[in-house]
Amino acid sequence: MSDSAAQTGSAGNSLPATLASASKRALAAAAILLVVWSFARVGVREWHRGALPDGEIEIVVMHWSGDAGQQEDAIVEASLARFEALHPGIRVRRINPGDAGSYYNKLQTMMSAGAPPDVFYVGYERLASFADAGLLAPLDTYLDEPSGDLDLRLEDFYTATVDSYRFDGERVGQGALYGIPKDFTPAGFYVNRTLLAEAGVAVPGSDWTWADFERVTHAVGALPDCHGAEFVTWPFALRAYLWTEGGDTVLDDFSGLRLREPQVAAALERLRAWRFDEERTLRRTEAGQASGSSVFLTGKVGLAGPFGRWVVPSYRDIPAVADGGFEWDFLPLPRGAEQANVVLSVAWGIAERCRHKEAAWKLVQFLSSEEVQAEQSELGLAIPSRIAVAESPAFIDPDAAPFNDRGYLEAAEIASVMRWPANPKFEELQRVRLDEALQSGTTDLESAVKGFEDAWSAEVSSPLARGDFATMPWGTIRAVSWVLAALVLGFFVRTFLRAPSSLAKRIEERQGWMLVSPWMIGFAVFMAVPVGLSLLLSFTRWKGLGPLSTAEFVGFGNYLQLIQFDERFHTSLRVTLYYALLAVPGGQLVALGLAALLHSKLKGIPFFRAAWYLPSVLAGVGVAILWRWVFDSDGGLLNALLEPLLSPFGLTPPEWFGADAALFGPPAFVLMSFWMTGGAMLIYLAGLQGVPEELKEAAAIDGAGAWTRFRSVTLPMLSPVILFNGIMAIIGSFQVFTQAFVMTGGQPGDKTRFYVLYLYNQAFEFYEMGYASALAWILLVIVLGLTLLVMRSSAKHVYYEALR
Amino acid sequence: MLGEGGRWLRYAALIGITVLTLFPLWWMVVISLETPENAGQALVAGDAVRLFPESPQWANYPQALKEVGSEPWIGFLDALANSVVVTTLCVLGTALSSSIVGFAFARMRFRGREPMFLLMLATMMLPPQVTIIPLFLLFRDLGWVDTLLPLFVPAFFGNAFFVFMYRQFIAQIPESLVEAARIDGYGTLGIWWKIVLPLCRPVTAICAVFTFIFVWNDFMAPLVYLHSDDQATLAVALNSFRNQYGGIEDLHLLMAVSVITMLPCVLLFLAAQKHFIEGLGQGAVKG
Repeated sequence: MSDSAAQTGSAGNSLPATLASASKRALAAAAILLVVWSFARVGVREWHRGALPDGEIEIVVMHWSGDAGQQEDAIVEASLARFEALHPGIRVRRINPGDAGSYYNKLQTMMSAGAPPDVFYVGYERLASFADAGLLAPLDTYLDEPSGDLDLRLEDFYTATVDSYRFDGERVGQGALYGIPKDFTPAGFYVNRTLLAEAGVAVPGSDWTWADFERVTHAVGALPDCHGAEFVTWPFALRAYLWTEGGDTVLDDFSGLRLREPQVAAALERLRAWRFDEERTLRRTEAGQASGSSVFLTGKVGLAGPFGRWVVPSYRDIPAVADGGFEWDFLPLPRGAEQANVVLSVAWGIAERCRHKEAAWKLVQFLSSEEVQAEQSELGLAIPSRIAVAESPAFIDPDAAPFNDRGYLEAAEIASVMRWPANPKFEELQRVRLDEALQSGTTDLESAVKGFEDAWSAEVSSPLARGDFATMPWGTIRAVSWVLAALVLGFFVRTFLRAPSSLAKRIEERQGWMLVSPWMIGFAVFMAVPVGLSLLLSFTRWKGLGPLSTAEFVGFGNYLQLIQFDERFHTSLRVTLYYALLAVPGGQLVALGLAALLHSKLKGIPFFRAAWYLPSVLAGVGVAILWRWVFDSDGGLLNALLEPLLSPFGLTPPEWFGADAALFGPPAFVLMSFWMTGGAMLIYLAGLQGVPEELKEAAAIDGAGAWTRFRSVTLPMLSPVILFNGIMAIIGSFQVFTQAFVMTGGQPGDKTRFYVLYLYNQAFEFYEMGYASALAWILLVIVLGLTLLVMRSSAKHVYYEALR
Repeated sequence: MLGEGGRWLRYAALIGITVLTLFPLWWMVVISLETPENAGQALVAGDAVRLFPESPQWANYPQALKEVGSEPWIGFLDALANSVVVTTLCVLGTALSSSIVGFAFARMRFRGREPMFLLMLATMMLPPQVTIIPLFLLFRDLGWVDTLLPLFVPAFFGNAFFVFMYRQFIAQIPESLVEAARIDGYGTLGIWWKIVLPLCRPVTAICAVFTFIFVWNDFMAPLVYLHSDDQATLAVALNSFRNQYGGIEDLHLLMAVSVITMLPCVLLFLAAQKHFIEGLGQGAVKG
């Protein structure tokens, strides 16, 4: 009684303190409630997760949502529900991992586990890779069997869209059919009609030429603060551009490149000159800047493309002229020496491993029906692949921009299938190598072309690509690993039995083993198998698409290829070393300095501590967008600050991710990493708290100055923490990935392609999981070597109070 | 002890650094409150960024939350509950298991300790990207795919980073303390619970904050192991949001969701604050 009365009394004296503690309690209570609610919600849900009733079969459908998000989700969900109602006995389960990138990551893991979804999206550009790996079921047999009112006839579809899903083992466009096209788009430019009128040029018609393009861009580029066009050089866009001049980047059989042919070389040079020799004809973009379709929204470019229909939903948000917006429309690709266009599409495919192919086919038929296509096309994202639906009001809407809906359909009639090699590296090499000359301007056209030629011929002639190898003897390996596991177990038992003679030692040892057993069990269960498997896979050629049985034994082939021939491996290692050399010592100095500043008895320290740790809390993606803007060489924050500092010396700030990327790209990431040193800072701070004041006071009495006290008392007491942070920084900086992945994707060229980014490219974009595993193990050896070096060389300097 | 000048100098440094570290958050909050047009402009032309939004669009926040996941509102609530469950279990499991293993590595002598420790360090050096598929195969064989189990069960078996961290700090606890506890009749587990854990509070606070933030933001594991919409965590929901709304036209919504996602991390940090400054083994030395 008296206690609580006293408390109330004292609290009454200071209102802010009462409020603070009350709000703290309220927050704690809210947190506890949130946790309880979450466990209840999740628990109840997992408890009720139903099993499939007897006799029903389940079809798993996987798709992504484009720019239409929840709307698209809702439409797919509704049509699946209708299908279930029409077909009792078939249940449909829908998986939507979100965007296309996450979708393909997830699809790949499911496929490699031998448990792919039954029906799923296949982009035209992945068809060769997937069909070549035997992942897709050929559909021709089903087409021949009539099946009632949903009967699907290929004549009802645009021919080019259907041909995009034929593959004969070598090339796309002929052979067996592996997908029923869902929708498609040709490519073209979006035109800002208002800006063209301002510049005094007429808006060209659908039959325009590159000369018209040049005229328009020159006129718009002459307007203040405007650019003629945003011209992207994405792989499909560049090839389609070359098609209009009767060329292409690659020979029909992919054995070599066509970049030296006169019409191709001239077209490439024209594009380069537009961007770099002329002022403001084309926008110049650095890797990682805001670019692509979004630029059109600013209203400062006359034309933007080549894009497909997919930009339309976001462009429809452009306000009317009266509200400060502009009028816009679509123009198909201009005509050059030839008239050409491309068909970009997505199809529904069925997995070869699907167990209920008949039911899956019924579902694909249903999803490809006129009714469902008409519903989907209302989103405006793409053009229905059925001619009848595309020609209907479901697609053609005279009241909404773009008004030239016909332009898409006319382009579709002359469009052809773009064939990609089954080796996905081609697409990436074209983009990375040619963009250096055409997009970022970090090199001249000749060296870019040469770089692409060398890389592709190395790829075509690589012994790994051509050789025939025996399949991996998994049975033997499994047997051997059981024996090995038994041997390890036997070794443990023997160690256990040969206990030390002294009882105390024996007890301590047994207790030690008991205490580390959580980690040992965890290692044996969750790590030993995956880690061992990745080591084994590094000696194989394995796509990581099919099951493990498709892995082929190549001996040290991957390692030899990496070390002897793979220039990008060496580049990425150099870039990473450069980064680590700056980031590890720099980061430790920053973190230790910040911790030392915080380790003082000033007022307000808790606030500063929280503020300084905050950047480490911000999740990667939102921040990546911020950093893009900070490091933008044109209008970016950092360069705006550097400019006045450097100009007195006649210097200009660097183009971080542009022309100066070789020297300044990795340091830009180092600067970003300094923002994220909050973690190391906290650990140092905890270490500093552990340095006994008495020792420092004693040293002070002995007449030691601040620096001497720090060096002879603080530093030794802190040394275990310094060792820990140092080793973690080494490990972390060799694995730097996320920021570069999100911000630059390794561009320009390979100048910010860090080691693990290259590894990721190999594993999830080129489908070379075996090769990627070899990369991982080389990294492990390098980092382990460095760590051992640091541990050995620091052994004398690290002081442990009581390490036993 | 500090001169008046020294004090001001320190405050100047503290405030200067704070401006640098708060700037990203400030930028995100400003963009999240802008109109779509202004947000887009701010990204394309740096000088369009304002110190404060012209007319704060508070409606951006409910709009963004509504569009998380596949169903309006429900998607967000599901994702929130999943994230809370997974992170809570991971924080508990990691702190308990890592401290006990770290204790063994620091204070117990047993054969095989050094090689085991090195093996543990080595597991951190293999880039996780190559073990995604092998791990998936393992969890498939265990029948754990499409459940929340792969996301939190491994946390109960020690995390190499935190084991190493605990080891470094536990090695600094004076032996006299441990000896005294032994004389008082504590067994090894008793020493861990009654002596080591209380003295390691700053370390445990760090472990909890780091684990929370990592698990809360991790999107690769839930993306790969979970199939059902209603099992997605906030990070997965946010990631698909980013790509759906990747263009500058929806930057304001992306930033609003980012700010909300990081809010629990900030609150947890503030709650853990007071534990960071408790001296490690300090009371002991005085006693």
